[in-house]
Amino acid sequence: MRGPELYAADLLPMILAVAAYAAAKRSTQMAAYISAVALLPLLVESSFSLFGGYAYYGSMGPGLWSVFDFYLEPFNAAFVFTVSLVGIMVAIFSAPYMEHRAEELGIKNTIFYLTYGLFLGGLAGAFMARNLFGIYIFIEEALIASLFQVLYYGYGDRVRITVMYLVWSHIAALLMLAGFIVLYLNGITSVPIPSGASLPASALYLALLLILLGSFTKMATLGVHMWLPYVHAEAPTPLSALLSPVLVGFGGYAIAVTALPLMPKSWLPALTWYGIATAIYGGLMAYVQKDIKRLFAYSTVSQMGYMVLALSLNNVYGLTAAALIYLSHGLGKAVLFMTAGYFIMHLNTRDIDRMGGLYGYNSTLAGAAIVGFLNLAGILTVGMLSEITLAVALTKAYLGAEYIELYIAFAAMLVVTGVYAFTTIKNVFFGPPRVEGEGPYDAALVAIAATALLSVLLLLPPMSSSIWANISAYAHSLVRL
Amino acid sequence: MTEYVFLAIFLPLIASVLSLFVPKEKGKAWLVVVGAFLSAVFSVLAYAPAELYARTYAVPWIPQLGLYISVHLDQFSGVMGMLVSWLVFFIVLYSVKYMEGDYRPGWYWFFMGFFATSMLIITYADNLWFLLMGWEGVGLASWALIGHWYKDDEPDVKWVGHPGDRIALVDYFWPPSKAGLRAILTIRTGDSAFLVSLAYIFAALGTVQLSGLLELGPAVSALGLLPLFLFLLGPLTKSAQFPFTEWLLTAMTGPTSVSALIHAATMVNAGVYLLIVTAPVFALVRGAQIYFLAVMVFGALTAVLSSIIALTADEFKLVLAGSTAANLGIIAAAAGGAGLLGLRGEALLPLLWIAFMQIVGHAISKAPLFMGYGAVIHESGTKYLGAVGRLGRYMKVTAFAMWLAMLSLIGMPPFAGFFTKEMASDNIALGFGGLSGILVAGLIAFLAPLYGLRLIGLSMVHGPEPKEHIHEAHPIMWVPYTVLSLATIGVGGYLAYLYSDKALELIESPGFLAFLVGLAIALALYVFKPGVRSRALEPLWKIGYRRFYLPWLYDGLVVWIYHNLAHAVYWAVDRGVFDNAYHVALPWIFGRLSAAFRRLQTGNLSWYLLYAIAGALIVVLLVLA
Repeated sequence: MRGPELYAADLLPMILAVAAYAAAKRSTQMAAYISAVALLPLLVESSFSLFGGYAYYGSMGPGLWSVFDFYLEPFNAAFVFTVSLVGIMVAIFSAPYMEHRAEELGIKNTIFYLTYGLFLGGLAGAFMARNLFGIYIFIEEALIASLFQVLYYGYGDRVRITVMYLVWSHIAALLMLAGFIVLYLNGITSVPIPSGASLPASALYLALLLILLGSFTKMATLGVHMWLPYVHAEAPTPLSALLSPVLVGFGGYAIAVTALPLMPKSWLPALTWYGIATAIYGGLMAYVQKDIKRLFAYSTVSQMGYMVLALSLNNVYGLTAAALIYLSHGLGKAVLFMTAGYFIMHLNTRDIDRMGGLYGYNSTLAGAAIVGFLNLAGILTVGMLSEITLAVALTKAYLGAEYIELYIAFAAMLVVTGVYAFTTIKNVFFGPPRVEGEGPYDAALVAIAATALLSVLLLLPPMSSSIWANISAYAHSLVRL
Repeated sequence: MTEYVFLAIFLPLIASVLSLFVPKEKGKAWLVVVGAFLSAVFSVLAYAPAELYARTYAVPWIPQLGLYISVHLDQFSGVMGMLVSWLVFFIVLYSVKYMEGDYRPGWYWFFMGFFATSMLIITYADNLWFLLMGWEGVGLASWALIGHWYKDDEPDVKWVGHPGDRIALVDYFWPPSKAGLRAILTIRTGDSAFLVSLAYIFAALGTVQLSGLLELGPAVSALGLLPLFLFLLGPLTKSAQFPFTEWLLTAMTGPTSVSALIHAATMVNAGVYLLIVTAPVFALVRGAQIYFLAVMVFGALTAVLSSIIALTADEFKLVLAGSTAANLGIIAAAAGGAGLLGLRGEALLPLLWIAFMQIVGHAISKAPLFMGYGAVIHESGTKYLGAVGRLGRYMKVTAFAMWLAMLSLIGMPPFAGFFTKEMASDNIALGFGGLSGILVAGLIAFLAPLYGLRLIGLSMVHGPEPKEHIHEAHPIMWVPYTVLSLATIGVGGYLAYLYSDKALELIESPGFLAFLVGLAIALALYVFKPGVRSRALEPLWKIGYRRFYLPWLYDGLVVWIYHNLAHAVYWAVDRGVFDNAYHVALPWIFGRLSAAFRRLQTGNLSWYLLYAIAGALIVVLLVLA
């Protein structure tokens, strides 16, 4: 066995999930903190890789055991880092939130905390798995765990939503699996697939189509996005804060490591436009929403468009941008969903029309939420780093006055994001105050503010310098030559 | 020297971050004042006169992206740095009293320091990505401070426009939260194109260091015009050039100290300053004359139209805002003219220096005007021109300072504004060339005394007697603006000494003649014989007063289209097509299919046997085929 530390870090959240389950019978807080602590080793290891540039490899043995081969290089470490960091913050946030939700529902939080560790361990495992089937197994684990959370603690017609989630997430996962099987039958078993690996054309196209369709459904890009606003709006808010930024982005990672290295170059321009179209469409739809959680859900659709665009540019900058978008969107959207959760907890509303002037209700919350939006809009947070990298990737891939329409579309995409971001800030936090009193300072607020602060710090050197250098050094291998 | 620059740049930010942890309002205020003062001192110590980009220092940030923390110390950045940091210091000092008792001190003091640092980054940055950090910073800070009074209370003081005023279904008044949104969205539009342009430059040339680009020399010429025009959208929106002037006018919803900061020291000057310092690089690009021509035309257009807005506005701060836009137009046009003349073979840097000096001349005149009229609004409780008058009797020091600053602003000799403005006018006149040059420069010079003395005349000299007793402002308020207004004489004297050989030439220029005509009319209409009205001019006045109906376009048409497009797509496509397809049609099809298959389950064994035989037969046939 090689790399036991990788397995230990990934299994710990799953093992401690049982402890959290037991603790949740007595104290939600204790369960929440156990869940947070369980993710620390993952955070530490992924930080070593992401900031230090180290690579780790794990193997449980030959033969069938190779399904569980792990790797942690800065490129996927960016994803694992986001998963564990957001996981820890959301766990802290969940302490007061789930207490409130359980009281509302009249049930205990046991299932929530049992599935929490399984969900995050599964998700991190999917990002670290080397083997195609390993990826599937771990993502399936994450999906099933999260299903229970929606079923037990969701809002609205949660049985219907759970079925919707079950169906769509499995359509995505099974399409990907089918694509993986095609690759497996042609001798490709592990990721990242070496760039330009040769496959018979028919098998290649079939595999690519299946993986792309599966990944798009997972990412909820334009046309296959319809499930996401329902599920992310009705899921219990801590789960929304994880589903939206970290789970759906898995589709982007899957494209990067399994599809992109094989993709014929002629497909890329179509993908570029599809990414921009998704981003603009998602941004427009977010602008329309009155339910703040649905708004954030559509904004996720938009951000996934950014990610598809980044991937489609097929250069080191684009792949680095994709990982950075995952990171910046992960932190920003987690802040925003947690903010929505804070409103649900303390104001009992998700309706933007009933908000307004909430800056006065809690200025720390407002400041943090604004930083969350700035991550999406790419202003002076780690989101700005992704935006700059994305713009460079775009111009590196398409340089010249003949691509003017692409530049205009790209700029329009940024403007659309700015419009919904700043309009929402105005509608929620500014204007005549509609709520009396003062929002409490609780663990939820600490988690929100800390996440926001981190998203600013990650822009600064030397953090951003090392992140960028390390990711890009490993992203090289994924570029289709 | 380098350490001094970095201290000058970052001390205000450090102070403002620390201020977040200070509980008392006074503590926050004085902390930022001290930070701003130290920053100003270090900006002087860092001053190192040299050729453009001559001395640069760089620390890598993300070298693979071409991102370095790098500064250039030269004549332009040196003077600009001192201008910005000293004005910031005077303005934050003024704010200590002006913002006393405000309901959002944490926000205000944080963003004041943040604003200063962002602007100083733009001032000194040699690397365009690093500059972009400051660029986004000033945008964000101005959004935050324009909307500072987020509760949208006290419409008579804190809003722009008359509450309730509407034109063809569109509101013609702007509460702070809306004004902030207008500002940031206009800026975002320009910045998006600006970002693409920087990325384009990096992708094409491999560097975004201004000094590095200049060193590339002829290699830059292949860049082409597209990135230049994408770039231009950044400064055009940030410096509120026509047709993006609107956000600057409604930015008057911010506290007056913020207006002073945005108009004199930061934000809007960032755009024109950048136009000036990038001109030597862009002059190397093939076809650059079209770019410079565009800069000049946009600038001249802005100068004329904004002067008309200033002339017709009925709010103190709106007059000043219009005049800012007009002056920015002059600076932009002078920079464009300098570029054009440079391409025709004249020495570029001295011409750009002239455009730059107008930033200085305008800033030191405009900052005291804003602060002074802030004090007037503070004391009189109204923002409307014509609602209160004869203030010269009650606020003697303020009136004196306002007179000095205004005379400088409109270009009266021997104030600083005279030299900077007249020379800038020369750039414009020569850039356009011939009669059109004289006409444009003349028109701009003619309008300035009209709007300037209208404001002074109707508030300080004439107008209705105040209903309540009005006091002079607190010394912490009047000292900063009086000192600055006196500085217009000092700087004017220095410039007179520097350009003694050119003074006669400036006085003989057609622009100065037009100024004198304007001044004579203005003195007659607003100072000596006020109250002259003309019905014939009313339709024209209305167009100016309605700001060329641009608010109707931005708040009405553009918003209407965006809003309704988004809603139409949502209901027709998102709900209509996708939602129905996935969540109505698809389940329905599955339902029907399952119902059809259910009918096969009859419970009759002989039927099942039949299915089995049929199935087996199909398998056999398939195998045989």
